[in-house]
Amino acid sequence: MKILVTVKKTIDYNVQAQIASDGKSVVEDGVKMGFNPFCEIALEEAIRIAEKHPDVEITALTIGGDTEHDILRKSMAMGAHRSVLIEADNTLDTLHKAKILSAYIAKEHYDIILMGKQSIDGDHNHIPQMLSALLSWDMGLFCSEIEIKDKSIFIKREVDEGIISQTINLPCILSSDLRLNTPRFIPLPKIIQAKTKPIEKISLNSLEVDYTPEIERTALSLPEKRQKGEMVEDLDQLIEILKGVLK
Amino acid sequence: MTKAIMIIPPHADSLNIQYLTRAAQKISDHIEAVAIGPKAPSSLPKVIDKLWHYPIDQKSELSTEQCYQIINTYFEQGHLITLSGTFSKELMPFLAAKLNIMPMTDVIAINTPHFKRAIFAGNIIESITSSQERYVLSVRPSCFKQEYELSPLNAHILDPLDIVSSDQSLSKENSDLPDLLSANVVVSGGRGFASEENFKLLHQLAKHYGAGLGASRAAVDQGYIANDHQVGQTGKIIAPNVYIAFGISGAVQHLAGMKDSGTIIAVNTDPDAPIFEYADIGYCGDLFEVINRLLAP
Repeated sequence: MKILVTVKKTIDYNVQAQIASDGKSVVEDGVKMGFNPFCEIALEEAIRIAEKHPDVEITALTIGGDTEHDILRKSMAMGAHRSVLIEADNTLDTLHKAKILSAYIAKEHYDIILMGKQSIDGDHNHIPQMLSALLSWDMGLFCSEIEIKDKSIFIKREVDEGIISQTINLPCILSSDLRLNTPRFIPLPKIIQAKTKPIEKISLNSLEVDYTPEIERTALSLPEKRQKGEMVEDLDQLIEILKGVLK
Repeated sequence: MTKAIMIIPPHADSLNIQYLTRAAQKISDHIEAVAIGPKAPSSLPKVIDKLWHYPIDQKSELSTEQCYQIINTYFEQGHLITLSGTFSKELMPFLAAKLNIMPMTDVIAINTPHFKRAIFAGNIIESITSSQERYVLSVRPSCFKQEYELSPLNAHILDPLDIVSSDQSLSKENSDLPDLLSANVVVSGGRGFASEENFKLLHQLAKHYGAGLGASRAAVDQGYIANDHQVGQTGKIIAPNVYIAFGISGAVQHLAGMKDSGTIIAVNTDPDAPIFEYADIGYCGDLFEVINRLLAP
């Protein structure tokens, strides 16, 4: 069985993003970067599946340039067997990226595409759904549990109303939610070993994607800040306020 | 002018439908609504021209593919707009990719053709301009608050398509509490409760006062409460009139889910907790003492 895991490098989730001087992008120079947390969870899940099913091969894929080599090496250090870089601008819109991925996947033979449900920079939560539409494959979004059966997969998904349990067929697209697992720590020797592993490069032209973007980012700005209120020192006073609003 | 088709999610309440109407008015003067589910609303804001209903049986859940087929069959034209939430997160990008349209989701402001969305967990606002002829979008209701006079509207029933319902089964906690997304007052708890047992006190408090029950991601991750109570960037985005946060430190991703609330009241033992920067009223002290006083007869 072949699993494709898409990975994206984002600003570390503990770092507050700053708007760059062009007013349209965020500062990345000198900022700590890492796995988009949802992608890391997706990769961890693929590795756990491979540990139970030895015939599983995991490919880690990202879209970008030479600056993305590190995230692919990290993916291989963590447990991906091979890695693919699609050479394109990594700030393309989500539909464009979904079309690129769909064109790539159509040429290969994958059984499962495991993805993070969203990236913590753009916060779109689009691409798994778009891929499902473009490839006409089943999808299971926001997974908090994935269990591989013979020709099908049992999943639990987190939705607004609770948890949905369902069985879906292969090939399929799965997106990870936060509670799916806790990614492992990568030991240093594995990081060093991964430095010499090959990265397969695919040019955007070879995928023949026809797309004209129709949405343009014009500016980034900071949200309005709430005014800080007052602190109440006295418990009795607080209880009175709370009883007033809770009635 | 291109009309706006408002897709009413299966579990949307009247107030959120009114906020969705406000957003729809910002993209068109002609609004039609479509409800896919067991029931269609019996009354809607007067500005809505027409109501369509695709009835499905109470027990079955439609898959995203099926919802797409319904929309695509009956609504070949018009902007498509719905509320943010997992229903729209599943449907809109899927629908948009099928229609070859880049969707705009979780939109917080509209001034066509300009739109705004929150990115980086709400720390940055992205302004975008669309040159599309047809929009596919979802909006955060709390950013389009407006109440309308409602009037009864008869639904036009859409003929059933030849599609099978899917085998999904939804397990849901039986709730004795008001819906989190539309509750007037929400009490919410975080890691400060320290155990699932202790968190039950907050449930009691919510029940006692008829408030909605929220939780931080930390509380959900610790297993104190089910995920459908989670408030935050990856949970529910809510804006009740009053939000009372007990033992929640106020991580950025949590703030993103509640910072548009009317009044925020925070109780926390840590005087430096970030939540106090956002609270209208803060109290530094023991949450159990406060809750026990509120529950005392």
